[in-house]
Amino acid sequence: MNHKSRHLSRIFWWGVALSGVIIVLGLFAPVLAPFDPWKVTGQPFELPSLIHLLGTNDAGQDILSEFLYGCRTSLSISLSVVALSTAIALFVGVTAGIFPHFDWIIMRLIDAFLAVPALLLFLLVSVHFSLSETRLILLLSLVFWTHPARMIRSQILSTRNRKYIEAAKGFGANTVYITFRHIVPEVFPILFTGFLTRLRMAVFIEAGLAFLGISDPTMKSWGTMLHFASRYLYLNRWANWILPVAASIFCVILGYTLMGNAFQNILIRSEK
Amino acid sequence: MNRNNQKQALLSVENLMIAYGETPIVEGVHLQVDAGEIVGIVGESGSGKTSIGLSVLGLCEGRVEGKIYFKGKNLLDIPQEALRFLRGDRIAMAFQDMAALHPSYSALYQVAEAISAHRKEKNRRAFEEAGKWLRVVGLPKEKIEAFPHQLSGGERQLVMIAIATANQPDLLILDEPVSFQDEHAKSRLVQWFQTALKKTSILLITHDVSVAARMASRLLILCGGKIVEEGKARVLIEKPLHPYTRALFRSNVSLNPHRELIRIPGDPTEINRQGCPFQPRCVQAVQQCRFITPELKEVDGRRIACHRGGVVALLKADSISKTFVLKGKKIRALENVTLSIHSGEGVALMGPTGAGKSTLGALLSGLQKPDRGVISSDFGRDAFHHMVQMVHQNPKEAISPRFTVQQTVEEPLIIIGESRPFDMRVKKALMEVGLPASGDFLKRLAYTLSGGELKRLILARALVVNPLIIIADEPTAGVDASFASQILRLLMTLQETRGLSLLMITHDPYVAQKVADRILYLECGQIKKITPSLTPVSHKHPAALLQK
Amino acid sequence: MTRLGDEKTERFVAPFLLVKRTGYVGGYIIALLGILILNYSLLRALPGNLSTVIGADVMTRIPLTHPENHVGVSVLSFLAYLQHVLKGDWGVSFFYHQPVIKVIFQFLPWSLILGALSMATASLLGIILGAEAADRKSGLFDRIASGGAVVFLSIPGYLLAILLLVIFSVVFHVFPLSGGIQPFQDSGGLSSLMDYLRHLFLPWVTLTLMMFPEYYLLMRSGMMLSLKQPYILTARSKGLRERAIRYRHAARDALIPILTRLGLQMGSLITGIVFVEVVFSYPGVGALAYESLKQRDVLLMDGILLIGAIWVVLMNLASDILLRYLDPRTRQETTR
Repeated sequence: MNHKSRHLSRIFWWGVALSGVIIVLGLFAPVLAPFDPWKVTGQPFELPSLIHLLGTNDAGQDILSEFLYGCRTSLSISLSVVALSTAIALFVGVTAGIFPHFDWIIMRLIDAFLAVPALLLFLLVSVHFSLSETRLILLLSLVFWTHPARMIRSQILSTRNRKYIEAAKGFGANTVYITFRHIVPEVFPILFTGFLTRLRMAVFIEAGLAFLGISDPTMKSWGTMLHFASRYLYLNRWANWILPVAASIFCVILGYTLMGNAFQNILIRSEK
Repeated sequence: MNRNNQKQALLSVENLMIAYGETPIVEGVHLQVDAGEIVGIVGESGSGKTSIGLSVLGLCEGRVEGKIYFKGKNLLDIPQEALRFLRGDRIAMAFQDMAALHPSYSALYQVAEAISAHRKEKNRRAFEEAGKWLRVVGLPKEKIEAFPHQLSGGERQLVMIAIATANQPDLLILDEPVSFQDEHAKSRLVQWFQTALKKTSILLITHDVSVAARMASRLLILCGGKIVEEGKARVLIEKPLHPYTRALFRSNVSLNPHRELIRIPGDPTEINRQGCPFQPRCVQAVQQCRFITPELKEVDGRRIACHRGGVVALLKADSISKTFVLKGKKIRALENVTLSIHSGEGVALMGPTGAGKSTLGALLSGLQKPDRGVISSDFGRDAFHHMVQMVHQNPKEAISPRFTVQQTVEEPLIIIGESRPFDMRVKKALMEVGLPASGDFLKRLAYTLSGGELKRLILARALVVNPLIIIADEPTAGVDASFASQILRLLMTLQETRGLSLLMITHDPYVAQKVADRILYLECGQIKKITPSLTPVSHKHPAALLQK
Repeated sequence: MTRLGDEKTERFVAPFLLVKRTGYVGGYIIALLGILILNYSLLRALPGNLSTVIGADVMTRIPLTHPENHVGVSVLSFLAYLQHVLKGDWGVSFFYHQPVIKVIFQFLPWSLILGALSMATASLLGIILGAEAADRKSGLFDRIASGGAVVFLSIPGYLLAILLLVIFSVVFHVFPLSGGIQPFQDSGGLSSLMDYLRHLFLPWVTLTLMMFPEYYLLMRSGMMLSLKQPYILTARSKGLRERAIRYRHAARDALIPILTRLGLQMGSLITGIVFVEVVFSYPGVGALAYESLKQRDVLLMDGILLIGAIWVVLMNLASDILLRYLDPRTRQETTR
C-alpha cells in the first residue's frame, strides 16, 4: 500500500510540474516576453536568432512573445470558462435536485443541450457574431455546464434518498439545514473531480476554435498561432513555429489529465 | 467407517490443506464420497467448507495442497484443460452467492450454455433440453425465459441447481442449495436430490444441520478448517459426541422445535489454530486442548477428534437402589437406576409424585448414599460437594433465618475452606442471578426477601462455588408464569455462559421439553423411558411424546 | 417523492408534465426544435444581421411584400419556416448557388465513410485491446498501452492532425498534402480508388487515434470490474473455455458503460471530423462547414448544424436500442 500511494502521488506531482510550468509562463508573460507580440519587430518568417529566439511569424511578430501571451490567454479563458460553467451547473443542478417539479424540464433541457454538436453550434454563432474573448467565454460556458449539472443533480438525488436524511427530518430538520449540513458536503467533491477534466477540455476547445479561425484573430492564442502556422507548412518553418505551441498544449493537457487521474484514484481509494 | 480402496471411491480427499496467504484455512481434511452417496460437510461460516468445495473443482483462489482423487486421478496434478473438461460435466457445483447468475442472459440461456459447453448439441436441442430440465427442477413455465433480476432469490437458486445438474454429473457439490426456499420447496428439493439423481453422488456443504440431517447419509463436522467429528448421520444425530457437534445441533431451530435454543458463546471467528479449533468456546476444554490438535479416533461408532473423547460424563450412577423404612414397611424408592449426566447437558427428570425423583436428586448430589450400586464422578470425592449443587424446591426452608444475604451466599465458600475475602465472588453470583449487589442489600436478613428473590438467592449460593452440575428441584412449581419463565431463562443462560450441566426435576412436561437434551421418566422407582428430544422436525404433541 | 418545492411552482410546471410520457425522446425533440428556433431567430430577430442583406425570400421563398415577412419574429413565420424545413427546403447556399440540402448531400458521403471507418476501427481496436489487456495486469503490454492511451488523449485532434501531416507529408512526402482525390475527378476504376485511399489514409488514422484511447481505457477498467463479478465463477464452473468466459460473459457487461457514452461521443466525433477534414483538406461536411464559415454562408451553416443534430439524435436512439438489447435490466423502464 505504501509503495502504491507513493507511486500515485508521483504521477500527481508530474502533472503539477507539467502544467505548472506553463501556468507560470503565462502568469509572468508580460514580464518574460522580450517584445510586444502585436508589434511588428522583424522581417516575416525569420529563423530563430538571438533577438527572436523562436523566429518571427508571417506578420513579422516575435513568436516567443506570442507564445508566452498565448499561455496567458489559454489560462485565463479556460479558468473563466470552468468557473462560470461550474456556477451555472451548480445553480441548475441544485434546482433540479431539490425541486422535483423543475427536475423533468431541466433534464430534458440538458438532454437537448447535449444533443447539439457543440462545434457546429460555435461555427454558426461565429458567423453571426464576432467572438471577442468575453463572448467566447460566455459561449463556451453554455456548453460546459451540462455535464457537471447532471452529476450534481444525480448526487443530490441519491443523497436525498439516504436514510440519514430521513432521520434528520424525523428530528424536525428543515430544508435549509438539510441542504447545508448534508447535501453541500456531498456535492463539493463532485465539483472538484470534474474541475480538472473541464479545465483541460476548455484548453483543448479554446485552442481548437482559435485554430479554426472562429475566435478573434488578433487575440494572441495558441490556436491562432497554429491557424496561421498551418497555412505555411510548405515553408518548413514548423519546427520553431508549431512545435513549441504543440508541446505546450500537450504538456498542459497531459498535466491536467495526470492530476485528474491521481485525484480520482485517491477519491476511489477513500471511498472503499 | 470402512476405508475403501481409493480406486473404488468416487472422490477421495487426502490431507487437504488450503491457505489464503499465511494462515491455513483448512487443514488435514480427509473425506470420501462413494458412488451414489450423499455426504454432508457441516460447519459455521468461515469454517472453510466452501473452500473445500471450490478446491475439488479447481476454482479455489488460495494455495491448495494434498491429494484430491476423482475416479482415481489426482485433480491437483492434471492440467487445467483436462480439469475444465470435467467441470460442469462430471463434477459440478451449485453456489451459495445468489448474484452468481449473469444479469444479461435469460435463465434458459444459462442452462443451455452449460449443456452445449460439453455436448455436441446443436443450439436448439440444447435449449429444448434446458427448458425441460428447468421444469424438472421446479421453475414455473412462465419464468423459464426470464432474466435473473425478474426472479426471486429462491427461483435463482433453482436455476443455479439446474445449471449444475444439467449434465448429470458424477459428483455434485451443493453449497447451501436450499437456504432461500420455503418449507414446501425445501422438502421437495431434498426429496429430489435423494431420488431423482440416481447416478449422482452429492457433496453437500451447509451450515444448516437439519438439512444435512435430512439429506446426507454421512456427516462431517468442520470446525476452523479441521474435521472434529464424522460418521453416519443417524448416529451423529441421535448422540452427538463432540462438544461442537452438540452445540451446533442445539442451536439449530428446526432440530429443536420445542426446546429453547442454546447459543454457542463467542463467535465463529474465535478459532484456535494451534490446538483444538473449538477450544476457545468449549466448556470442557483443558490445558491440552490449547496447544495440541487432537487426532481423529474411532469412538462409539464414529470418528471424533477430542482430547477428552467427546462430551464427558460428569456423573454416573450405576444400578443404584435406595430403600426406606416407613412404619415398618420397606419402600423401594429407587431400584436399579442407571444414568449419567454429561458436561453442559440439560437433563429433565420427570415422573409422578412419589416416584423417587427427589430421592434420586439427593443421591446424585451426595446428600445421601445409595444402598446398592455406585455413583462415580469425573472429579473425585473431595470436589464433589461443590461440583454438584442442589437448588431446593422451597427456598424459605433452605436458608437460615439468622443469616444475612451476604452470609447466605458466602457460606459454601467458608465450608469448603476458601480464603477470604469473598466480596467479589458474592457480588458476582448475585449479579448473575439478577439480584442487586449493593451494600444495603447484602446486609439485609435473608428471610425478608420475597419468594422470587429467595429462589434467586439460593441459586446464587449454589453458583458461588462454580459448580459443574446444578440439580434443580421443581424450580417452577407453585410459581406464577412470568416468574417461571424468568427462572427458566436464568437457568438456560447460566448453562450457556458457564457450560453448566442441569438436572431439572419437574413434573411439567412442557418445562421438560423446553430445557432438556434428554428426558428421563421415572416411575415406581425405575427409569421407564429415556427420550432424547433431538429429532429433526418432530410435530408431535409434547405430552404425546411421553406416551411413546 | 418528497415535496421540497411549493404549490406555485407545481402549478406552473403542471402543463409540461403532460408531455412526460414521451420521456427522454422529448429531450431530443426539444433539441431539434431548439436548433430550429435558434436558426430562425438568429436570422430574423436580431438587428443588423444578414437577413436584411440577403432578403427574407432566400429563406422562406415567400415574397417580401407579404406582411409576415418583414424582419422580426412571429409565430406564423416561424411555422412557415418550419414547414419549409420539414419539406426539405433548407434554403439556397449563398456560395454554391445550389439548394442547401443538395450541397450537403454531395459532401456527406465522404464524411460518412471517414467517420464510420474511424469509429469502427477505433472502437474495435479499443474494445478488443482493452478486453485483452485487463488480464495481463502488470504486464509490459498493459503499461505501454495505457500510457500510450493517456498520451493520445492529451493531444488535441487538430494538433495530432497537424503533426501527422507535418511528419508524413512535409517531411517524408509519403501522403498527399491535401484533398480527397486529385481535383474533383469523378472517374471510377481502381486507380482512382487507390488514389482515394491514399487521401483517406491520414485522416482515418488521425481520427482513429483520437477516438481509440477512450474506448481502450473504458473497456479495460470495465473488464477488470466484470472479471471480479460472481457470475464469472459460475461460468468457470460450467467448464467454459477462457475465451468464451472473457467475451460472452465479462466483455458483454463491460460494454454497457461504453454504450451509454456513445451518444456523448458523437459530439467528439463531429468535432474531430471537422478538425481532421480542415487540416487535411478532405472534402467532407466538416470542411464544408469551415468553408461556409469563411464565406459567411449562413443557410448552409444552418443546414449543417441541423444535420449534425439529427445525426446525434439518431445515434443516441440507436445506442439506446442496443443498450436495451444488451442489458435486460433496462427494459422495464419506459422513461429514464
